[in-house]
Amino acid sequence: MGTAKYLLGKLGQLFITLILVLSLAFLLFRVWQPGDPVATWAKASGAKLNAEQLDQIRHEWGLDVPLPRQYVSYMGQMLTFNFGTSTILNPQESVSSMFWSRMAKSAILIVTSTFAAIAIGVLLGIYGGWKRQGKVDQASMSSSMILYAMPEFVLGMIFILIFAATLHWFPVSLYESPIPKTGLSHWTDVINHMALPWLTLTLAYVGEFYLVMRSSLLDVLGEEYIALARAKGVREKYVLRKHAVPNALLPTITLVALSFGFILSGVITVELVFSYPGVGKLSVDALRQRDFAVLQATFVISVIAVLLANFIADLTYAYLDPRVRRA
Amino acid sequence: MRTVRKGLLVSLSGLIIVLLAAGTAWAQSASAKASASASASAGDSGGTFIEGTINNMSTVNPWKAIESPEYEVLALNFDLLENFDKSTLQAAPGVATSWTQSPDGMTWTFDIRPGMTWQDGQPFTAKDIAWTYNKTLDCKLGNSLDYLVPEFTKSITAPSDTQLVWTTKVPTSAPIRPPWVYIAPEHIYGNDTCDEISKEPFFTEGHPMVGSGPFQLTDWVKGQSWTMTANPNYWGGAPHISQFKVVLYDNSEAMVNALKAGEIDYTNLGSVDLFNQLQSESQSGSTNITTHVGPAVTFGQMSFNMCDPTSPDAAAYCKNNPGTGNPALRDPAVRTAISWAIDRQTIVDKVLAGYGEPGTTIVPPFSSFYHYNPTPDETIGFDINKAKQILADAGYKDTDGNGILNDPKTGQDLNFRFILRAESDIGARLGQYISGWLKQIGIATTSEVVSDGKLSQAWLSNDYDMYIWGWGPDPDPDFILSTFTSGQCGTWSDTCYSNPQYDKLYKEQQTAATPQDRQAIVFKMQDILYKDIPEIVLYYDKSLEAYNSQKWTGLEDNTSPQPDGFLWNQYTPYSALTVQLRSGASASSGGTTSGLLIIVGILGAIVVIVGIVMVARRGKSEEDLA
Amino acid sequence: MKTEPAITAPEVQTPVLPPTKLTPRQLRRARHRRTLGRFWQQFRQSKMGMIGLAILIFYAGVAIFSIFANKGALDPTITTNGPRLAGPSLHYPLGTQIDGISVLSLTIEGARISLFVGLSAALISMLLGTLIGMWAGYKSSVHDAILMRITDVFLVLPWLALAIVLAAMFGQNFWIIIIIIGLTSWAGTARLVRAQVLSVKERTYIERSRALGASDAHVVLKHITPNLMPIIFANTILTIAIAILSESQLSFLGLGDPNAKSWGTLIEEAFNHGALTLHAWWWLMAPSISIVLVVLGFTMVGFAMDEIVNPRIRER
Repeated sequence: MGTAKYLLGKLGQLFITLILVLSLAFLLFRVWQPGDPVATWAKASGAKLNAEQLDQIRHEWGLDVPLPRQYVSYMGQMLTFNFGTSTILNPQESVSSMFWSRMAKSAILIVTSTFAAIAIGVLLGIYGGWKRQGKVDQASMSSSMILYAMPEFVLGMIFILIFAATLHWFPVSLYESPIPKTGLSHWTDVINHMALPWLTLTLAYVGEFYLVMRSSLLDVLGEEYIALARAKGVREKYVLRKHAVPNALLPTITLVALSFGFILSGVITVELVFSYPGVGKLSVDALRQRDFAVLQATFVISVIAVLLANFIADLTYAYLDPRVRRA
Repeated sequence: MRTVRKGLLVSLSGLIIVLLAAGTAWAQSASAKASASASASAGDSGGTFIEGTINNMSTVNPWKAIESPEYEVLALNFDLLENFDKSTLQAAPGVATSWTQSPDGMTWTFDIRPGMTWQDGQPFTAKDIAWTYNKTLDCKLGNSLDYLVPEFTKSITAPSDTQLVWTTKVPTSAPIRPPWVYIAPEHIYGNDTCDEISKEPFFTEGHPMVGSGPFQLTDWVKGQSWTMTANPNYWGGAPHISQFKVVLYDNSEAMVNALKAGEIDYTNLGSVDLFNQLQSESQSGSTNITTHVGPAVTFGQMSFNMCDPTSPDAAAYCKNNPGTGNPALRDPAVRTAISWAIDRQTIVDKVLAGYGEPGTTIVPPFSSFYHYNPTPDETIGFDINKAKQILADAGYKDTDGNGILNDPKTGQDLNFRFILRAESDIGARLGQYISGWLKQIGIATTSEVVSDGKLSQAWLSNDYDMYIWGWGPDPDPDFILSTFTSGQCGTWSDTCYSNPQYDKLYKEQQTAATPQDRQAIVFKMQDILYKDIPEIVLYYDKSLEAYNSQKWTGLEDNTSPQPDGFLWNQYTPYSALTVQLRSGASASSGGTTSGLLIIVGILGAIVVIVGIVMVARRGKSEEDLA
Repeated sequence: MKTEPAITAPEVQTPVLPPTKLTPRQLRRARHRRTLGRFWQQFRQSKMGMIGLAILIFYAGVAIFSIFANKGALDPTITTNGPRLAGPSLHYPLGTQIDGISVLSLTIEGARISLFVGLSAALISMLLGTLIGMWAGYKSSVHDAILMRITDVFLVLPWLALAIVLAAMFGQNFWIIIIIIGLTSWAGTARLVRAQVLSVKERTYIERSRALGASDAHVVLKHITPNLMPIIFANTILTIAIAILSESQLSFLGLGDPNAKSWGTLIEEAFNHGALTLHAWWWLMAPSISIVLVVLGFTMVGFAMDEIVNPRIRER
């Protein structure tokens, strides 16, 4: 019962936040846009249209209606993922289809690298926090700090320089070879291309998760009930597994969920460096050409993704923290 | 005990991983050999010529096309009344085999080639031409309407199947510009209303692309590729190849990799660095790719804010939107000095990596009949001292000693707002160079890099001093000349330049009876602009092409506009008819996934070792590990 | 941007001093000096902290030096006859880039820009976060709820997507970058500060002070803030590190100020002009290594401070 109330509450908060952010998007992309988007598009695409034709397009894009009505229809569009048509990148192609066709590629990359980073980071963090100042901890601390200090695109470029451009172990960029392969060799080809971007993303965030888990564990290990358990003679490993780690995981999960937004931003630059044809690369191309229709979709989709990640974290929290269940 | 079981499981999984890696490697080398041998055996006898591009096509409606890949398809699918001459891009015989102009200059009679057919077998006659032109005029269709000079055209009729008569209200050579309006079949689109004919999608099951050109669009996978099939009954002779296909890529790098791998045969590159890379590889003989520097059909310009609301000649729009242009720029001495201070050759060498020419007049050299070359004594070169002298002679001195000249009328520093486009990958660098030179002659600049939206806003409200943009004009100079007329201020004018003499000359070139008469007027107009300097043409940038010369031949001897024209995608397709396969096919190389397999193998080995260690430690108790 | 590990507030104890003839203000200053002195003693013992500090002092020196350095070396119209894309040599220790400009000169100039943007953005973030966090933590639950909702919104805002849109709309000016980074990173600090204020609020000497009739402002200024200062300071150091990383990301995407080239902009130029394919590694590596070193410096100092300030992890 407590769980249900907790989750419903979180879902409600999520919805309110979503509405607030979408309203911000409306301000950004409709109200505060400099210039007349139709005229800009016409000049940029070289279309020699007269005033009538421009007005026609303005009507098609729904721009000739008073603002409050625009706001309502805008919210409806955003919530149903109707992002309109691309203005500059692929004129007249639907923005949502541009995204969905690339979504899977980015999703594989993000999901696998996030899980790998969490798994490795958390496990190492537990070990490092437990055996504080031990060899593993010291080595992990230094490498984590260096990785934390490195922008992910720098890491990616170093990998390209070493492993692709010089050693030729991996291809320099993209998702698959230009000659499409079939069956199993297609999948190994894809994995081959995804290897360096995956490695870059994983290493970029594993350091952070390590530090967070370690510090969280150290916090917990300093608590009184741990000292009590030890005084009672409970075995150290048991103390860890049953008391310290589960409690240390809670704030870690919260922080991991919070950093999902930053993982998304990391994906953008990594896809750029590797010319990996996912949604990140699409956003950069849209930025280069100032295609605000696509940028708007990037904004909205990122928000929804982050909110979803937070909600999943809340779900995990509810599962792990008995206090929530009992409430 | 539990540790032993765990350890064995771990070792087993590690072993499986290693075996998988080995198996994949073996399977891969087998399939690579298979695909290589498969491609060695020939496909169609004529072959498919494949182009790679990063520019997507959104419509194939001949009245709505805007983008370059769309024009490429239309140029192959349809005909114009006259062809673009292979060298001069003037009118050459094509569908119209010959033409005469009446003595009063107001009636043009065209002899239309007999015995032509549409791609669906129906006869092609002059009536189709008349229908197309009249439909365009009546419905006011599309971007090429101006080519039919609606202001001056009286009638366009086809008295017979092989004759077209075009009468005008005043003498004009417009009918042989040539008019860039593609001829469509009346028997297919004749019943469409104005709305129907411009609706999307244009290319559908019931609405096929039937033209009279050498290729027909037969397949279009939106956002991916489009295919054109050769028309064996083309009046100019059947093409050698049987198909032409265009494949869309996400970015230039992918495209170049595809070219190198033999997956595509030709591409027009936007990236100078990639082109350089291809070129050096081709020169060292390590690839089958030949690079080609094509014609400069686009130019970059630096425009000044010429809107002077106090001038009696000011355009109406300028008077209503006076803006905040710096008055110092209205002094021709300032603009002339700035032009002398810009080293256009260095821009070409450094920023364009040599792939361009220093700019002079607004009709680029590729339109060779109409491009005006300034005489040696009127040519503006690069001379910092001369620029300084011009400013000194005009009364500009640095009165406050801060290194920047002061406007004698206001006493203010000469500091101009300089807008650069974010979307251009050379905009910021150009700005840096130009600001550097201007600083040397005592003019300060405040640079801003903004989006096109913001630039358009500033430009429409005349709140700027200088900015950099560019154009890719048609071979016919009418449009680009029109952008300097006062009537275009607020629409297409880059500068709101307003010169009644220039406006008059624009009307005259439209109604010049012969191309020669027109050329003289067009030269004069360019000269006026070159001396008045409402904008500085910085450079003409060249096209960068590359193709698989091991597989294909027939491109380099048929470029257009000659000399050093495009290998492909010409205004009137010439090379499309001569391109053909060389004997023998190129084997495609398979990519190796060696690196991946090495890693997987190593990981598998590690897992196996960990498993063995776990098994070996089964003797230790848990307490000892604490 | 990344998250920082949790930092919790310690208790500030009032040391017992022998009675003297000093005024209350002098007493307070003496106490502060002593606390600072003690803090410095502990900091000196942290190897990590000292290394980080050394790095920061070095780069601060470079940044200051850049103010007086020769600007002509950055003008492509002046360097136009030098070697282009040349590797490191005696005359050009870090090589040259595509316009013939020395990468060393660019990196020195970039130090000033990157540090300035990072520090300013962190300052804005710190001020905003602290103010909002304190207000939310100290004031009634209504204020708290509203402010926390707003904070939540800013926490989930995809900062890069927002930054891209704002920069694309309002132009590429380093002030705009500073404001954008400041606006999108204050939420974490606000949450942290609020949590600390909540825990400190209930301590006995606060209640005592209020019982004696102290005003809100007095309580906040004299009691709560000093308790939070060390935490906020440590947090700000780490915020600076994140701000520098964020700025480099924005610049790498092409949103940097073209008139004030930070390290991120240098990397972007190198990447877009094919430094990778042309093997001009020096052009890429000089600004990259600088970013890593400076961020490492701030992180090390921040962590060292955290170890001192957070009693739980200090010793066991």
